Amino acid sequence: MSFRYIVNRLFYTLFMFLFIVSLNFMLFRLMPGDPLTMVSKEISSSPEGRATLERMYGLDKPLIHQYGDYMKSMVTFDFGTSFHYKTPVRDLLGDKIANSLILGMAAVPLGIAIGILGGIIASARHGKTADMLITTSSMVIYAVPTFWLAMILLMIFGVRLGWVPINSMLTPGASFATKAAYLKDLFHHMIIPVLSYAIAIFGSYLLIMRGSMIDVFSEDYVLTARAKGLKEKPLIRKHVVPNALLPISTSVIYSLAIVFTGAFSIEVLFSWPGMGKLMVESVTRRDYPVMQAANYLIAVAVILANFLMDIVYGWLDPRVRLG
Amino acid sequence: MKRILALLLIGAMFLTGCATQPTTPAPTPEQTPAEQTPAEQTPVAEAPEGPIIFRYGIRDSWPDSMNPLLSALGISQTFYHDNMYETLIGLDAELNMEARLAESWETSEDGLTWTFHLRKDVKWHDGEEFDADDVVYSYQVNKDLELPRFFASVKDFTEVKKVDDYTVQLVTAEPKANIMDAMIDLVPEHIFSQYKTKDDMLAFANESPIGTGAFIFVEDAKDGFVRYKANDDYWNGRPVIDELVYVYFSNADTLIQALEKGEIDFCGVGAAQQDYVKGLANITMHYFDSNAFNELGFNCWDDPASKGNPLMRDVKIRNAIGYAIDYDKIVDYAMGGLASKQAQLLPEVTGKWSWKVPDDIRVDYDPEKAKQILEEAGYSDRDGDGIREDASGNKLEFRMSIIESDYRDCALVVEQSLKDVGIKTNIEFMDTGRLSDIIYSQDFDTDMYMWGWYARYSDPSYILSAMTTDQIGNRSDCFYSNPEYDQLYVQQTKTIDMEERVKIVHKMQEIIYRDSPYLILYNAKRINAYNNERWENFVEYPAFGGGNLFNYYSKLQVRPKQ
Repeated sequence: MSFRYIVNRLFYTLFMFLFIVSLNFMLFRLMPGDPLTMVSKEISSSPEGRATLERMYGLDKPLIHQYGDYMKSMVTFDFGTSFHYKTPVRDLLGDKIANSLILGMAAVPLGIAIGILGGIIASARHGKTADMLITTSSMVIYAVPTFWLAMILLMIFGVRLGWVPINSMLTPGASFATKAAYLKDLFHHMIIPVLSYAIAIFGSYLLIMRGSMIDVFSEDYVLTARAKGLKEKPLIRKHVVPNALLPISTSVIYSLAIVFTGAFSIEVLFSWPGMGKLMVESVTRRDYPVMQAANYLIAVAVILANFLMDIVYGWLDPRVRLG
Repeated sequence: MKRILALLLIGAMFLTGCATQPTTPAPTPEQTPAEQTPAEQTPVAEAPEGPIIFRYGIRDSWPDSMNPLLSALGISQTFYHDNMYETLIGLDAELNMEARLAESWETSEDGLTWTFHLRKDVKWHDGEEFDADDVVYSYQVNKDLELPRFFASVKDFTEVKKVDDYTVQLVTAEPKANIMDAMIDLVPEHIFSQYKTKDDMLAFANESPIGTGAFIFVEDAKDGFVRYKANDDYWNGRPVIDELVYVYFSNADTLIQALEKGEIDFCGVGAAQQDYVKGLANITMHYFDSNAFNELGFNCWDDPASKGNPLMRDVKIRNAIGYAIDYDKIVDYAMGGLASKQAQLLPEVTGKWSWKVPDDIRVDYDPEKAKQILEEAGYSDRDGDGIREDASGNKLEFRMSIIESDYRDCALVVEQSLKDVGIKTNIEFMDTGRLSDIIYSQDFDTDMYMWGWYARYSDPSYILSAMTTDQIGNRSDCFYSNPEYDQLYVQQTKTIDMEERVKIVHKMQEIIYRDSPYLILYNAKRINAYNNERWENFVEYPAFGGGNLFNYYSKLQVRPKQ
C-alpha cells in the first residue's frame, strides 16, 4: 500500500471533518424553537428572568462569538455545560457512552456472530429446507419492529415468568456491597435488552453473509477445489468463508465504530440511560451543547471508521489501492 | 470465529466492570423502621427487614437543575425541589393558606407590609439553624441577580427587612394581594451566599442540595433515579417511609409492567393503559381533575405586523366556533375519556377562584346555533362550495397550527366540527419548537393553534396575566388585548379583601369566556396508580377534586399496609 494513498485519504478525512464540525454548529440553530421558547410556558417568566436564562446559556453573545466558543470547545474536547442537566457535557456523555457501550459491546458482536454463522449455514445448505427456514425466519424477525419484539420478550420473561427485571440498568436506589453483587445486578438487567438488540440486528448480517457466500460458491476456484476432491467442511472454512467475509467486513467495522452512539429504540424501551436516548431527548429540549457534542463524536467516529475501512479494504483487496 | 466471539464477550465484561462504578460503594444501614415511626403514628406491625423504601415511577423528562433558583421546568419542582425546599406559607387541603416555615403572618393596615414570624425549631439538613437571614437572603438574591425561576415572584418587593432573628418583613409599593405568588423556595444563606456574582450563581449546580424539607438528598443517577432519605428532625413530623426513590422510565408500557410486578409502588397511568390496569388486583387507580387545561387559541393580534387572518379578530366568528365544536367527541374520542368539559380560565380544582359558568351563557355543542350566528353576522356560503364568505368574498378558511404529538386527534375533531358549519381549516402539524417560533416571532403567522396551561392552586394571577396586554411578546400566546381586562388584572393584585378579590377574578374569567380569545376545549383528568398490597394512608389534597395522590401530606403519612 502506497504512502501516497494513505496521505490522500488523510487529507480527505480532515476536510470532511472541518466541514461537518461547522455544519454541526449551524444545523441545530436553524431548527425551529430554541432552548428558551421550549420552557417559555413552564417558568413564571419575566423578561428579566428570560434574559438571565439567555445569559446562562450563553445565547446573549453574538453568533460569531458563539461559533468561536464552539470551535474552541470542539478542539479541546471541553464541550461546555448542558442547558438541561446543568452539568459538564463531557461528564454527561462519558456516563452515557459507557452505558451504551455496555449494552452495545455485548449485543452487537452477538448479533453479528449469529448473523455470520447463520449465513454460513444457510448458504452451505443453499436451496434446502434448513436454508429456507433460516432465511425466512430471519427476514420475518428483521421486518418486525424492534420495540414490538422487545416488548414481547419483556412480557414473557419479565412480567409473566418474572425471571428478569424490566427497567433500567441497575436496581434503582440499590447499594451494592461487593463488585460481584453489582455485576450480578447489571447482568440480570442486561439479558433482555441484549437479546432484543442482537435479534434486531442479526438479520441484515445473515443476509449479506449468505449472499456473498453463495457468490463465492459459484467461483471457478471453488469448482476446482471440489474437483480436486476437497471435503466440503475444509473447503468452506479455508476457501469460501475468508473470501465471503470481505464484503461484510465493512459493515462490521462500521457497526462497531458507532456502537457507542447507542440503540435508540432499545434504550427508550428499557429506560437504558445511554447515548441514543440522550440524543433524542436533547433534540426535544434543544440542548445545543449536548446535541453538538454528540453529533461531533458521531461524526468523528464515522469519519475514522471510513478512513479505517479505506485502509483495511485497500489491504484486503489490492485493486482498491490503485484507484 | 468462536474465539473472536469469546474475546469480544470478555471485552464487554471488562467494560462493564470498569466503565460505571456502582454509585454507592457500600451498604449504609439506616435505622430500623420501628424507632423512626413518629409518635402520633401507630407503629408499623411486622415491619419488614431493612428500610421502608417508596418507589415512584416517573415518565416525564428527567428534571433539569438541582439549583431551585435556576430550574426552568415544572417537573424539577415535583421530583427535586419540593422534597427538599420549603416556602413561608403553603396551602391546606381546602386551598387556604397554611403555616409552613412561617408559623404566623399578618398584613399592615395599608396593605404594604407583610410580616412573617418564623418557626424557631427548624434546622437545615446540615444542622445549621434556619432563621431570618436565610429568608432575607433568598428574597434578596432572586431580586438582585434577576434569577429566572423566582424573579417574577419577588420583583414587587421594594424592601426585605429582618426585624429580628425570627421575624421578616416584605414591603411593597402597592398593596399585594397575590402574596401566595411570592412564595419562593427558601435556600440556605450559608451555602448560596458564596456565589456572589450573577455568573457564579448561574454556574452553581447545587449537586449536594441542603434544604429544610421532609427529605434529605442522597444521590442523583441522572436519567436513572434520584434517592432521598427521611429527615429525622423534620419540624412537621418525620415521614413514615425511610427512603423515597424516583425511578425514571422512558416507556409508558414498561412503567405499567414495573408497577404490576412491584418494581415500583406508584406511578401515573395514561388513557391507553387504564383498561389494562383496571384488571390488576394489586393496583388501585385514583382519578382526579388536574389543574391543566387545553385550548384552541385564536390569533387576536390587532397589529399591522400580524400575519393572522383578520377575520379571526371578529368575536362573532370565535363565538360561532365555540358552538360548532363537538366537545363530547373530543373528551371521548381524542382524550379516551380522560378529560372533563370545562371552559373557564381557572379550573374547578382551584376552588373559590374558579368561576361557575351561568347556564344562560354556557357554550356547548350546538351546530345550528353556530350557523345562525354566522348567518346573522353576514357570513354565508355565497358561491355554494360549502365554505362561508363575508360580504366582500373573503372565505372563512383558517390555518390551524398543531403540535402533532399532543393534539393530533383533537385537531381532527375540530376540523370536522368546523367543516359542518361551513368553516374550512387547514391543519399544519409541527412540534413545540416550531409553534413557539410562529407565536413568539415578530409576525404571528397562523390563525389558530392548540396549546395548554396549568392554573396554579395557590393564586390566580399567573394564569390571568397570560391574557394581559403587558404579556404580549412574553407569556401571552393569543395576543389578546382588552383595557378593561388589564385594569381588572391590576386591581385584583391590589385587593387584599378576599371576597372582593374573588369577585374581580370571576368577572375577568367571564370577560374571557364571552370574548373567547381562547376556546378552552377540556380539562385533563389524570390517573395515579399504586400498589395496594403494600401501601395505605394516602391523603387527598386538595380535598375537592383530589390532586396528585403523592402530595405533601401523603409523603409524610403513607405507610406500609398493616
